[in-house]
Amino acid sequence: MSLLRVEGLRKTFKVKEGGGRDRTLFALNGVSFTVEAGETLGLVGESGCGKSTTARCLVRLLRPDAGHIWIGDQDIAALPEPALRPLRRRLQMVFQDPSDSLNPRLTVADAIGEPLALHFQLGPGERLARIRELLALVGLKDEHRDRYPHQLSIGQQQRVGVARALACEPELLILDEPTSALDVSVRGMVIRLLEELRASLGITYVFISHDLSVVRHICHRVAVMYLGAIVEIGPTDRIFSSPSHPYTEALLAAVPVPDPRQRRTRPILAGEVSSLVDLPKGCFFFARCPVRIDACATTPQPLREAGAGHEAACFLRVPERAAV
Amino acid sequence: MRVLRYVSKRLLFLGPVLFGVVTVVFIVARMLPGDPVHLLAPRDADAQTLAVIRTELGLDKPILAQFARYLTDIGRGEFGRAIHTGNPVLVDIANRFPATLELTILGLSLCILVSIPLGVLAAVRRNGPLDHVSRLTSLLGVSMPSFWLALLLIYTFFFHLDLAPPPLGRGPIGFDPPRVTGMYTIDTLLAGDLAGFATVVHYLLLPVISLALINMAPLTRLTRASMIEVLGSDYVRYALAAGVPRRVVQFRLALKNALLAPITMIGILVGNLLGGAVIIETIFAWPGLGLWAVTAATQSDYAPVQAFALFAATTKVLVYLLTDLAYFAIDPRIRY
Repeated sequence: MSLLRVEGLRKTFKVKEGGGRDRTLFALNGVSFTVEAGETLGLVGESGCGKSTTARCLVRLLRPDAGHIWIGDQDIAALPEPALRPLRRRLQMVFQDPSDSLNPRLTVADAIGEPLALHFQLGPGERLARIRELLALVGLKDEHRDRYPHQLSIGQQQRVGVARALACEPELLILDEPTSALDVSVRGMVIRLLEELRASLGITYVFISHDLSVVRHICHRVAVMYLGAIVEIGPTDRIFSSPSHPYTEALLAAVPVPDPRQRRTRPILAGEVSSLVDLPKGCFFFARCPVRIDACATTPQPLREAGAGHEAACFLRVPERAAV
Repeated sequence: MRVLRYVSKRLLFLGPVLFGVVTVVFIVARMLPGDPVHLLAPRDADAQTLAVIRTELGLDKPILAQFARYLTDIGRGEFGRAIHTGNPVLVDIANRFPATLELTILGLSLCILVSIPLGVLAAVRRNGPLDHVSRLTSLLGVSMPSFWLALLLIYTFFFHLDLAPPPLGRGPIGFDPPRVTGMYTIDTLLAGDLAGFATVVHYLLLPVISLALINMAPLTRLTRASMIEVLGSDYVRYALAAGVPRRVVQFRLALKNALLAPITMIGILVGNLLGGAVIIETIFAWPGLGLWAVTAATQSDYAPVQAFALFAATTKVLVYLLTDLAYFAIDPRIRY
């Protein structure tokens, strides 16, 4: 059984428009994916595509409007808070901006001790031992224990964020752009830490990022999101070597190449992202797609099988014979 | 230890600040229209009498010499005499300060007790009915001058509804509880005079409410804004995701972090209280320092004006120092 199975996740928000009218913003429009134990799934896409909304639904900071979130054999999508609380231990989140995600009034030991106090009955000695263990696990020194967040470098702060998330021994860690607030050298160190933890603890990650080189490096599988839906999902090497959705192609083409002489041959996108308030009727990507035909405007595009464990939502690129 | 060093360093600055205040107030007082000599002289005094009084007051000397004499007087703790009351300035201040203190402490306490919870609840139930009510009252409070608000209260509650006493000071004529602290609420209670206490509270109602309402708007809005900011931070999200109950997150964790800005604001409000009290005291004929200073200013009575400014400035500097020390206690990020 998969560790995490997400089915048809939908989330809308009410937004006020200029005239004071309430309108509905469709943030998530039927997101489905599974994550196996020990696996790392990358979630990529541009700003506003629903990556963070998905993450917040997974840890139930938001309550999805519809759909299921199966953790093992428990569906947490609609669980009320008291029933949810013991399950929260099993999936934790690491946030993008470490300075914003640590309470400025708590020392490192207090921050890591908070989840311990919530989920375990520990004596003071055991608690301290566990805090020390966690600090060592994320590569912090014992002397960092009594520091406040502002006395740490941003890389150290993010290590505290990771230690805090690991404190309640979760099976699944949601990493919401854990490296995008860090500069490049620190980013490398945090990535290495995450890889080491995965190897030693066998922990499962959902890794949200818009940094494709990091995703390529660390993820086993990648899901590409656009307008609150997954448009392509598959093994990392397949997604990067033979993408099957025009949006994935464009996304890969946008990765900067550190070679000024290399000429770009892959398409660069024109046009605007369609509005989440007025969702397109057909293919979500129609407005910007370089290979669209008239039929795309009216034909919704579900995911179709494009190879082993590889699905894409484009009926032009994924021929009918391969459809499930 | 570092705190002590910080405090002494800040107190050292008090000297230059007060010298600046003294200088400016001295100059401004002499720019007031009118002549203090006429205060003392009989209405039909001839030029010679006026000249004699002028010499007695030292006002015939060059302005710099007057300033030098004023400074040496202050150095000796001699603040001069208020011509319009006939008392030494320090005696007047000692007599009248309790009235002002009582009014402002109660006014500010009421203000804090209402605005902070209102701001917090408005932030927690954002765009709910309470948020709209607080937004509307804040808007009214900001846009209405204090004297107008006070007059409206008097018009409604005294003139029409007859729920409040006339705006004529701290009690009915002849009402004078045995003086211990000079604050009537405390003095009547000390004397065991419950009826007297009720009278005092009755007379305090409108001025205290006016003072509270004036200061409420900025404090409520700031508390709300600060609380919303903290509630939107990732460490609040983290606490929720970790399973801390929502109410604990909102009212314990977030509130503590959100109170820093309101505390700054309270410091500023306390610092401004003496100034704000001037208007309220004038409208309610409240025999406090504010009314005393205004009367002095309108009559070109230099000594009390100067002493009041000095007193207000000192209070302000000390209150700001206390506010900074409060941060020290609340926020571990601040080190001096």
